[in-house]
Amino acid sequence: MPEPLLKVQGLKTYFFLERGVVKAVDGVDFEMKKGEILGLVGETGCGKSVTALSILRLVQSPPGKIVEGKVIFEGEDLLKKSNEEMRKIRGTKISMIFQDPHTSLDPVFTIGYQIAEPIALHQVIEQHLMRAEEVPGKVMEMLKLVRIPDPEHRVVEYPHQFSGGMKQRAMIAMMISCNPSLLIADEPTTAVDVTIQAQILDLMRDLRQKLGTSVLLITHNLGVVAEMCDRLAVMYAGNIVEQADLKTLFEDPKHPYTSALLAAVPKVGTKKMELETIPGMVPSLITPPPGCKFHPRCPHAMDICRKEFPQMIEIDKGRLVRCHLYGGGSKK
Amino acid sequence: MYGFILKRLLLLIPIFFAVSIVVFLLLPLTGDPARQVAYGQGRYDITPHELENLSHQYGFHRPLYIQYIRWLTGYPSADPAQGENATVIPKGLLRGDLGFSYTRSRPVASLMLEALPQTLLLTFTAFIMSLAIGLLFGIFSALRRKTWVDYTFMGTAIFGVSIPFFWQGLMMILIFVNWLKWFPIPTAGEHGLMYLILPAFTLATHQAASLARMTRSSMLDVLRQDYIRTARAKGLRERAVVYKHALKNAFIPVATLLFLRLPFLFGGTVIMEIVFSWPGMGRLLVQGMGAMGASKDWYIVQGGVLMFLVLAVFANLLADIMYAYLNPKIRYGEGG
Amino acid sequence: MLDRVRDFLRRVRRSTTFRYLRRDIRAKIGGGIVLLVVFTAIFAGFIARHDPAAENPSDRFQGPSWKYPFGTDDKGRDIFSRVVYGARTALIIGTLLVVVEAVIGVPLGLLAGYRGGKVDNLIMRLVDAVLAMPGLIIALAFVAVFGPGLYKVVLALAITGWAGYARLIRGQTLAIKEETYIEAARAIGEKDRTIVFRYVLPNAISPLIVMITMTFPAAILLSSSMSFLGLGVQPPTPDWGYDLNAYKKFLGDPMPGPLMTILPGIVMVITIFGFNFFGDALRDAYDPRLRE
Repeated sequence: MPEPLLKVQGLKTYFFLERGVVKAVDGVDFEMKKGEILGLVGETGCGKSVTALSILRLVQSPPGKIVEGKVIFEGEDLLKKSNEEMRKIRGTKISMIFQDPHTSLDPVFTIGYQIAEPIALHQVIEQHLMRAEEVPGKVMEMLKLVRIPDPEHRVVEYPHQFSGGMKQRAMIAMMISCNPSLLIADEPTTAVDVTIQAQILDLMRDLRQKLGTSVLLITHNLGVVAEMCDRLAVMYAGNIVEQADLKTLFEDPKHPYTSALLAAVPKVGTKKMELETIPGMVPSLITPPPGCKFHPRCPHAMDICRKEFPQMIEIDKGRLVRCHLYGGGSKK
Repeated sequence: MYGFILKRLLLLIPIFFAVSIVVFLLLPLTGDPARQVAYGQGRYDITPHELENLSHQYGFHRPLYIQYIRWLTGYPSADPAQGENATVIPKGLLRGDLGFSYTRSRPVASLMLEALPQTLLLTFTAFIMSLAIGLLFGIFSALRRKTWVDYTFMGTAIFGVSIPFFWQGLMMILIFVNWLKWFPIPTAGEHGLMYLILPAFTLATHQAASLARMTRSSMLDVLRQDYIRTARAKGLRERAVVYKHALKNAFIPVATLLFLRLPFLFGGTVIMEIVFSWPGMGRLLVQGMGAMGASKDWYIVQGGVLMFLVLAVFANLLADIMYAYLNPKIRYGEGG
Repeated sequence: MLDRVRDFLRRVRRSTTFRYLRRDIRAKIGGGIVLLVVFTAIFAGFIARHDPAAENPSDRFQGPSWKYPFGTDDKGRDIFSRVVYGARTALIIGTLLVVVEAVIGVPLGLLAGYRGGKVDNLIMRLVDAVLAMPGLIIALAFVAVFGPGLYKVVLALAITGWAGYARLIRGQTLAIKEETYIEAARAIGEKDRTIVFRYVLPNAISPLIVMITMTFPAAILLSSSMSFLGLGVQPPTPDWGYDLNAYKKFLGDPMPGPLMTILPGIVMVITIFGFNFFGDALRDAYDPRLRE
């Protein structure tokens, strides 16, 4: 089996605040293969974005800090790298696009300039893969690749002159210009409307096909997930609770949280009149419940769930669950 | 952008009229303009008959609106038949006449022509001096937030804005003129380089302190923004993230505020001119108001206040232009 | 009645703002200075050991001593007492200025923010125009026309000072107006006036308090400058600026001449600094963005 592209082991990122320590990422493990689209799903606040930022070491520190874990990318632990080495990886090997395109672009520089920046820095200056004169051409190439209409005129325009969808695409252009192996997309469709959403997803699939880019897609929208992802990792309160490939997960969810999530999606054609919800509230990340963090809301909660934090168990090939229903207790 | 600026320029017309009315009213509001002139000339024992005479000479017997139009345009011109004295009747602000100084027997305009450059020189020098230090201190503080560098700079800055101009000026004289003897004693009328440095420096410290605080605040705001995170995610060097992206954004509100604070700086200049006997418009104006034992001269007051108000309006216009120029949203308009 | 006060104080003590303040050294030092000055101003009669206007020709030009902590001036008056009473004048000016500026500015700001539209436009144009003006110069012009004196100084400074309050309150009102609880209040038929006073205003209090704190250093700076020029507070009312103008002629003399200018000046600077320091801490304590 070929080495996974990305292997996250026991990642813990905590935020040291006034009111306590927020354990946003509290022991996260998952893997990604080359060329696959992995969906990282969960409710708002479960730690998905922080996980992504931790991989790129972009966590605001203070107050955040990666306290433990390994992030092994192409065989090397990113957490052990120096700041300068990490900087060289960002934008070149691993890129990230953010949720809100309106605030994620610098308002005082043209789109063309912002796209050219990483190209000029990485390709020309650092890696000598291109000459300076070739940069404008590459910028145009990128604009066309992300399907921005009328690129000759758009390239000298400022972000505020772009629509939301175009801004998002411009950001994608910036981030894939140096052909990263891994693209992390943090809720890329949440801030745009549905038609644009479809275009963005289309684009991402295109990129995976043409450039072989692997995508870590973070979202809380199961519809998007169903369209795009090969595999899924479900996150709850700072931990991954289930991992499987798409079809299996949707057809046969093992973890009660996953089932609840899927059940909560209203389906056209069913006769039910009420919306399904998950009872209870999202737990505090400062003082999470003891044992399994989902137990207060779980319809199958057992005694052991209140006491022991379940381990991740591989119940099948590529199928992992963190739940006492399937074992998960520590070895006695 | 040009539409924006044009609108601002058009607003200048009503502003100018409003300002002119206010300035004009200064003298009539005292209640007895003729007596003010008399006292200004030292004639405290003026008889009612002479006062009446004086009043006619200056045209104070005319209805107020006529006086205003005359002050502004010069029409109707002096009518000797009514006892009006052509030398002192206003010949029209719009034609460059700012009145006749009855305490110094010279047209106010010529007095101001001498004094205005001095004031501008002092203010401008202080402005320039404050820029470098203020910006640098502010940026450094923001980057090394909550370290001893930050605390020291900001502590100094707060002290800087807490020291009244006039007292600081006096202390500067005490230290640098009396004790260290590095600079000459401030003398009325002298306006060479050695006489410029101390007052400019005093003004500059205040301005720099204020600028440092503004810059730090703006930088901290900007560094918190999402697009800074994007810049880092692109793998840009930290230097580029801070000095290119962050600074350029942070500079916009700072640059605008700088110009908006000019009116305040002019107030400081006025005080400096008194403390250091710098022959500028502030000193002229304040003397015209009767400070430091001088006699009140209302035409100097009118001219001086008018000039400072015009400067303030101008500074504001500059602030608007600066903002329009630096902010791409205004410069290039909405699109998309 | 006393219960409500006690209740209010308890809420203040528990509020996050107060907790931030307690740990901010700026609040402690600045607040300490402010309290000291306020105390001095109120109990000036007890703290000053001599009548500030009492002239003792036999004790002229004395340096600091136990009897005269800051020495005496050219007329034999105790400088320390003059400084103490000067603090009272400074705080009176500050307080009056806050009141006048707030009385003018807050209602205008509320009106502009709540009504919006043409009213807002008109008021804001006026505010912008006033804010553009050189405050000191306008104040001096006012005093030139209407005469000097403590109350005239307050009025003179208030002519331009109210605009800051108006703009602040307008901004707050605009923001609060959009909140859902305002919509709810309107939905149940509350009158505009009630909404403004019961819901909008209390929520706009925090930045208002900061502005009030910051009005004091500005008031002291400007009024003392005016008095220094002879166009402000007049004798017999004691004033820091006025005294410093009177004492500046002794700067070139041998000691204790310069001390007459140095010592009162230092007190003035520390007072202004105290308010600024405290105001800064207060502003940061209220700022939700600084909550880590």
